[in-house]
Amino acid sequence: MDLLLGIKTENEVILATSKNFARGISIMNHKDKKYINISDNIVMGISGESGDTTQFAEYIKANIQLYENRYSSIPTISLKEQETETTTSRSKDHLNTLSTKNVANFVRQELAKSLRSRKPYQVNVIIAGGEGSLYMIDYLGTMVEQPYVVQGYAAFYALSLLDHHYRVNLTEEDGLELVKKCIKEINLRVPAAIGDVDIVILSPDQVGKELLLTEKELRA
Amino acid sequence: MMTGQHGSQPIQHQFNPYSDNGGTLLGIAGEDFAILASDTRQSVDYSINTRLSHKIKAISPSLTAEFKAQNPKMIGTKNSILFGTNGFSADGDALTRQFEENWKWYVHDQNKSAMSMQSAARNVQHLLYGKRFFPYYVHTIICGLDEEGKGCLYSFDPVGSYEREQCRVGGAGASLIMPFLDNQVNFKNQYIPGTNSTERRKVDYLSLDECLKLVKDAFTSVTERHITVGDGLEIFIIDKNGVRCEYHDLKKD
Amino acid sequence: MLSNFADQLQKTGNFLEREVFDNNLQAKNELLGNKKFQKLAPTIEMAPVSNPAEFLRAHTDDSKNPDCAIKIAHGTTTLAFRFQGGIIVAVDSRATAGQWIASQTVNKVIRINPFLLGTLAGGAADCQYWETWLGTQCRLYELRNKERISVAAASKILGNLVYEYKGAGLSMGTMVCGYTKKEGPTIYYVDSDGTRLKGDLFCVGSGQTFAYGVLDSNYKWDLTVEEALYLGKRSILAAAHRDAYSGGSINLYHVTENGWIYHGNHDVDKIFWEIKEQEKSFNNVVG
Repeated sequence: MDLLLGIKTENEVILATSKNFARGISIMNHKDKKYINISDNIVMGISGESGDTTQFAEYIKANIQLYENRYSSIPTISLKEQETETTTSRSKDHLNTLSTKNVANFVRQELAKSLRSRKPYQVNVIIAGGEGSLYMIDYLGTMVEQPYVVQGYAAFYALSLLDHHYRVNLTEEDGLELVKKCIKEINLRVPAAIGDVDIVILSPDQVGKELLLTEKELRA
Repeated sequence: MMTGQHGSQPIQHQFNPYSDNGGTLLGIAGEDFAILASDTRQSVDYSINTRLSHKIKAISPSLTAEFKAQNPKMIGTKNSILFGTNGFSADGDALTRQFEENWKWYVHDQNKSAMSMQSAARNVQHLLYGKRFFPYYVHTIICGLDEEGKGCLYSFDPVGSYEREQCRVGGAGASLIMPFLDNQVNFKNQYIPGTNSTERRKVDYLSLDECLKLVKDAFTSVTERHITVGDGLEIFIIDKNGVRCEYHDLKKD
Repeated sequence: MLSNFADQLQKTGNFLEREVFDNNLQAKNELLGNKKFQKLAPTIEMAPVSNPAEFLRAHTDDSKNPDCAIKIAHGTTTLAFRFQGGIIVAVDSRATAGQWIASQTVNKVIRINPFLLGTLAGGAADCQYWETWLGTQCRLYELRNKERISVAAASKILGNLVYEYKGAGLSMGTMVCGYTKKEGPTIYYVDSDGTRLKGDLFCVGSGQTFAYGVLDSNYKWDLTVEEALYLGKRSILAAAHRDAYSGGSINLYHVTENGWIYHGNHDVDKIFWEIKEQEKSFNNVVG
């Protein structure tokens, strides 16, 4: 079973995705990566129809980069008085980097467009941004922003648990503990094995941290 | 299974012994009375079969000459059971007939003058559940007075799960009237003014007049918005004096 | 061609009819006027078609056929767990027929006797009917054997009954909870497939996963009675919050060696805000 879970802590956003890749009754790969770094500070977790997931993720990433390449160009106009080159380029850079909200809305729109096409992408995603935003979008283009989001069957177990244990001002450690709690519950009740889990921790002003939670640690 | 004349698609004929005859059934239990009311229209699809059908029967011990003389308008004693069905009329009639037979045997065998509401409800459950795998397509409500003389109402789903309640609407108008009754009879979502929606209004019994007003408003309103409801309204009222029946006209279109 | 099930019922009469026979009530036929009242239930009638189970499904299963005529009341969250101080049983009170909330005041715990409780999930009528029936069976056992029935035996009576009807279309998921001297506090899960399991902790119904979510993460054997009652209530609240088919109010029971104790009816709308305030939980809800 695919796990896609995200929670916001006071200063971080944590994304957890499972590493098992199952097809039919077999696990084909234990090192699957179900998230993609869209930019330094934005990560998208993705699950759904195999094939669609990677295609869609790469398509989104490429288009976000294309946008940024197009619009964050080097200044071509002469500098005004008292303006240094760095300030312009930085402010321009800031303007031309897409925010998590921008990315989420772009992804939502792409999914909505795809749904009305001949062969829609059947993917569900979670988009996490280091500045502290967390979105969940399904293949129909339904988007919500929530303090914690879970995709798939795992939601049936994890949501009530998060309703109970989640607090607004969690530390990074508390957040990780909560994620572990959810995965433990899923391991306890869901018939299909989850296996190892990838964890991405995003925070403002720094590049995302990537950790690995092994099945062993989760059982402990 | 038969093969159609044109093309190779086989045509499946499904056995469908059910139909929906529309209409609405409504009951309210008060402190020392109970009301069971229904419209009198009977329809199938968009056609009206009759404008005066009876979905409620007052099942009563036989009336003595003395009782008749004293209460010329009463059609039953205080020990009566108001038996209402809604849904598929044929099933409703069959159920009513069966229950009445059981009721008669019961008072005869047990040498009793009547059947308690509790026993009646359990018997109706058995009748309905007896057809669990070939259900009666009916929503049933029975009204009467309980052993303490309090107003009493039991409602049943098609296969016999039942519950004692203060009020219940069954049939076509259920989704239109039930929320209204929740608010007006059980005071759901009513708060005491000035308490910032923190203190709920205490539930209290409504008087017979208030209940009758609610019933009439409910039926005139649902007649406006539901095609299978209308023509006439029969209201059965049971209290310590016995059972009486009122008839009011509803819109005929 | 008759299907197996209809065939079987027609040949053997049915379970209830045989039971009347077993109890030797036949001889008394002449003594009483109305035969109907000698049986615990009337014979259950089948649709006169080759496959009655399919007939039933076509007309009553709203999950397979949303515009089927007869909508049977469904949907629930129920739980029971064993702990140091006995058993906690907690249930919600909502009954739904399709999207329609048929009732918010359903009693989903059946008091089989002062030491036995049965919970109700699935078809409301199926559970209500067969668990009251189970109550009569347990009473008969008591009269015959001069001692209270064990939880194992009671649950097996129910399990065998539903197994007789397997494939006919019954829908029930129930927990038989009770205390006897030789067994201690015991929970059996019985469902209409014929499954019968003994265990420490069960959640049953459409909201089961949400209840498990809270229950598993806070459960330990050494819970105090007060903690355990709260956890039962809190787990049903979690389900009522996330599962649209669950809600209304919560009924709480505690089973001890002296029988069960009722711990009241708790309105979800009321306790939700109280618990949110007190626990500082439900942070997804603004209010």
